Amino acid sequence: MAERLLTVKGLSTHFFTHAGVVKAVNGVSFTLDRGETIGIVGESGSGKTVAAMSLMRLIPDPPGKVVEGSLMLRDRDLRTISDAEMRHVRGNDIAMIFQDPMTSLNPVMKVGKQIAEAIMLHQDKGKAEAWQMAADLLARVGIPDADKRVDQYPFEFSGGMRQRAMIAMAISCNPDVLIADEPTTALDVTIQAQIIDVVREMQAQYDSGVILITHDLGVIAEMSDKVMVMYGGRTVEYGPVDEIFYNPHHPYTWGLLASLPRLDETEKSRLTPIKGQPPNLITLPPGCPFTPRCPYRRAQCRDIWPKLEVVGPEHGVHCWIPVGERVAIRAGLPHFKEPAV
Amino acid sequence: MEDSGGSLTTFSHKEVIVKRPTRRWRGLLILAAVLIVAAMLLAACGSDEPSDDASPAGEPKAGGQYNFAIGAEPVSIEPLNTQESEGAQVEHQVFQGLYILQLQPDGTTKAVPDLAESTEVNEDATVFTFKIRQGVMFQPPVNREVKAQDFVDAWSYNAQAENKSATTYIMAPIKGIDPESGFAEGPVLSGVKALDDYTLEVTLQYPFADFTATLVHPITQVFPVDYAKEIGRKAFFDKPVGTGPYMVEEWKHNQYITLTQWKDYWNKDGASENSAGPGYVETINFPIYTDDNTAWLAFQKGDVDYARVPTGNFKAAQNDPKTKDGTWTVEAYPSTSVYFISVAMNKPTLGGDENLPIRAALNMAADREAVSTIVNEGISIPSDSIVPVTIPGYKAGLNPYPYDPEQAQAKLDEFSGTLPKDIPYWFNSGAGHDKIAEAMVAGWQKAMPELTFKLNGIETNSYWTQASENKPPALLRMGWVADYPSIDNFIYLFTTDGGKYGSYSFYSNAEVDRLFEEARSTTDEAQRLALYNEAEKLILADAPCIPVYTYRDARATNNRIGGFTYNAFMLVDMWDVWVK
Amino acid sequence: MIAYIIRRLLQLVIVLFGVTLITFGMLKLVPGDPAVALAGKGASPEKIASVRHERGLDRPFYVQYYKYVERLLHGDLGESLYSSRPVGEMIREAAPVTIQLAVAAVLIELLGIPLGVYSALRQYTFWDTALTTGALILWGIPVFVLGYFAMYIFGLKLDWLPIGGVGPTVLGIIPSTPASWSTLVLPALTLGLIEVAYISYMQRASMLEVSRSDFIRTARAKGLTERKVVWGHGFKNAVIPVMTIAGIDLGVLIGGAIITETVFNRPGIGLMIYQAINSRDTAVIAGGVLFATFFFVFANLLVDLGYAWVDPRVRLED
Repeated sequence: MAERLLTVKGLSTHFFTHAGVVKAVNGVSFTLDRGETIGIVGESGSGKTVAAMSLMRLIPDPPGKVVEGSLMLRDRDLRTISDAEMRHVRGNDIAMIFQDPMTSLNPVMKVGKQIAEAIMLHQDKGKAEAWQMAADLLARVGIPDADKRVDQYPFEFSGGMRQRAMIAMAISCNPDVLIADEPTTALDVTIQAQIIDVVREMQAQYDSGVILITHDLGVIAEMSDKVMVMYGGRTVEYGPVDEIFYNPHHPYTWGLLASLPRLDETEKSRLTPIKGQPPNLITLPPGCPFTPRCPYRRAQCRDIWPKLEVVGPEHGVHCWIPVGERVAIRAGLPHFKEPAV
Repeated sequence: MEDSGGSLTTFSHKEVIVKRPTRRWRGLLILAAVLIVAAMLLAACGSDEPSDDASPAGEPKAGGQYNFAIGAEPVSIEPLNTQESEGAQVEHQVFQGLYILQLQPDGTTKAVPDLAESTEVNEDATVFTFKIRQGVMFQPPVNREVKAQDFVDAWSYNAQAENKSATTYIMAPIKGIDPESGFAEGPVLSGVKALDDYTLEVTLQYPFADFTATLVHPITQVFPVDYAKEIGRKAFFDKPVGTGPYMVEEWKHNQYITLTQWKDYWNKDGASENSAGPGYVETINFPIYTDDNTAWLAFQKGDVDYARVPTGNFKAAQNDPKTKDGTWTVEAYPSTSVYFISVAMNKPTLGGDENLPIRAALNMAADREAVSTIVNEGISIPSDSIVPVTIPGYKAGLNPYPYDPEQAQAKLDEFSGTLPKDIPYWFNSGAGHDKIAEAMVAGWQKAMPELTFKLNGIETNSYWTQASENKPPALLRMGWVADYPSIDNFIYLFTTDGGKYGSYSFYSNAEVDRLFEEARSTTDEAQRLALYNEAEKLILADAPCIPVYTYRDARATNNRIGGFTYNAFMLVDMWDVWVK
Repeated sequence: MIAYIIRRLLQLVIVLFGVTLITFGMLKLVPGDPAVALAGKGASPEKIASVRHERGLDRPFYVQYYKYVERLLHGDLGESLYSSRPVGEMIREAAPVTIQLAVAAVLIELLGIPLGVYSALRQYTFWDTALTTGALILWGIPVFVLGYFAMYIFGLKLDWLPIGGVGPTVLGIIPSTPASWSTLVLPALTLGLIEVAYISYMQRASMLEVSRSDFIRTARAKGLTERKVVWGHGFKNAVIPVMTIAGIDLGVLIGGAIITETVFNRPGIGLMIYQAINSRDTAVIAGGVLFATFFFVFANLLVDLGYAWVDPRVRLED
């Protein structure tokens, strides 16, 4: 049994703004083991990034606040440790790769320094040694001429190289948990695959747990062990990757999967977008946030949040539609007519 | 692109506490705040310490420094080109001429002989013969006696076009000055001759009995031309040499001018009664303050012993505790200026005999008192004369249309034609002429409601150009300051020539011209003044202008200084000044 | 980099000629001419015309300008119409006074940077509001009002500092005596504080902008202390736009110097221009404006070089 790295229970993060309380994350729970990859999927505003940032305690306060839940890194409570301890966690225990490599690096600081900085901070290394390590890391993530590149500025790097540099920075202190927040979204398709490979390689090398945040189910399919589907700040479905792809139980998950291109379908009907608007996080209903867009909604959906229903091995869903009916509806959907292989 | 990430990374209140710098900043801020508050409190309390040298006037004593604020960098401080009062103030202490200005007990300022021991004039006042005082010396490093030839040289030099003086018009009566250009016709003025070392003969182009009054003007004062040529124009400009009790020590441009006492001054024992005495203070410093308000602050602080009182501060200055306790004296000294509104006499709106009732009525309803008290803080002296009170020959009561607003309407009713509408009233904008115009119009309309006016403020440079070109159609604001203490200055304004070049009224009256000429050739002073007054009466009866006031200069002097005098030409005889 | 500097200096020459042209053009357009004053009181129109002719004031605008440029190319800036003093000499006397004030004001102005950072860090707190409000108020006060007020309080009432004037210097611009330093305090503060207000305001905005950027989040995710995040990552980025503003601001500063120098009785270029404008002394105005332009462009060149020093993107792209 792999070591349990993270245990998140009932995490709620709200932003207290002039317009009202933005309930970005509401009662999210998940676990992460060493060597494991959990994919968090959902559309913009579903709370994926806020959940990850809550882990890092990078939510700006005010207006943001973790209002509920427990965040345990092994046996340490991330909600109660001091700021200084938290800084030690950041970069060292939990590291993060951000979405846009063009803006996530400091434009006026040498790439090497941006990597060495973290090494010097967390590993008590001297400047020269840290720079050498930075160069090694750049080489390891596949940047040619790393010894020269380490002295360059971000604007001298291409987008893909910058993301590699970001990864080098994130893994520089051998973190237990690596959060990759949309690591490929801003990149060319050809580069995306390379970056995914690098992340995977690094994970294998360091045996980290990875939280992969994305709205790209393709990336999830390729990398994740398990998947958490979020909508309106809530986890609507949770389970191993095969379960989610082949036995999805939540109408929102169906929608997500339906919007995925399939090789066996014709051009015209390739993408089926989910109808309706993303939820307003200030005026969320007490029940299921997907209710207004759900074609199968019931009377109680809007007002009562359904309990977790276990539908498979480690596979849970929050939905009021009785399980039998769910399977029947799914079977009737064009996307799921014949079980995918 | 993702989540509610817009404001995610704002520096958070809790996390961003950067302990050390924060405390440092807070400390600095508090310190600054405390300093400012303390400063204001202290300022509010004021310092009420009595001035420690409130000793009575006492006897004049030698030594010390006199600090006299001047309001602009002078154009020049040598005879050649001294023109405004700032330069004249400095020049007055350094240079001397045949005559000198002297403040009289009756308040007028007269020209009295200085380096001229005696003056003889021929019958028709065209040839003046001056005996020059012996033993008059140029200051070091020249150290030689002044001879009659020095006057010939100095005047000839000043009148050369290439030397670019702006004041050669003062010398216009002298033979050898080209009436067209105003500069010398040749290298030496033909009308100026040294008969011997101490006799100077001046021949004029036309009779001018009051010619001696012009000899107080800087351009007629004496300086060593040979020395000026030797050291060069620029060097002499910076450090000119004269014959007075004070020598130019340094002219630090735009900062100050310093004079030092000349210990070997030729008149140190006071042999020449009218001439400058040897002086008491060793140094006179003229700090240059372009801004009157700044100079006024410096005066209040005690940095300078003399300053103008800035416009709008006269009443407050008079009531200042330091004025009341005798630390300062705040006074308004009458000048040689007249402020009047000219009438364009060759224009149909108000010119000509037929419009005389309107012009007379405008004189009668001119609320000069209101202008003086309301607009000018009571500084100006309301006057219906075209001659200022400080000029010898001034006579009150010559205006046949004295202030009488009740009768103004009756006077206006004598007018038989159609009253002009929106009578144009031009003035140069800035310097408060707009307020004066408003006050005048208010007075006129109160007395004569059917009269209407149209005010037109014009930028100063442009205004004078247009006025000289006879552009204003009816009323135009004018002022005149005497260059030398002669009533001739003012009567000239309403001769045919003066109407064109001086008052811009384009007024012309043959009888006035005749009386003016006659006065100019009358050598007897009493007779001469009577003739000028007669001309003045004629002028005022034709009402080619509406006199408003004679200005006074609002000045403050520190009573640390004794012997302060101030003549009508704004000049202080600083050799009489001493430090208590 | 060298090519860049040379290019900029060539631009400077063009700008200087443009500025003289505009100055001449404007002086020609405004009504009135100095001949009336030069001719003396009560001068006849003939006399005024002859003065106008002698001084070349009646020549067409382009001829006057051509003559001016011709002399300028020989290093002759002309002379004052009134005192006949060479303009070059007047500028030589006045320039150090202005440079001294400008340098001091810029140094004070730079205080706005830490104040702005502080304000940004403490966004919406009491001190932030106090500083921001204070900055806006200061920014809104006319220079002369602030100047008189400062002199009244600190010069007259408290008697801590002198009222106006300048003192002796070394190398032309560095005050050499305590008294000389003290003359610089109030004008530099008056001129500088208004700019401090502006700079701190801009720095605050820039800092807030930068604090929202992704790389700051990256820095924080690395576990850096807030100090390192703010000063190591945020500050350098946030100061770049402010430097540009500060450079452009030098123009405002020179404009402010006209009033500041008049109020504080400092015989600098500003005072010179002020007096010359009052009397339409063309050559003096043109000389003063030329100097101000040169100073402005040169200072901006320095700012650009500083910019390159801070921002590698500018430095390395040449």
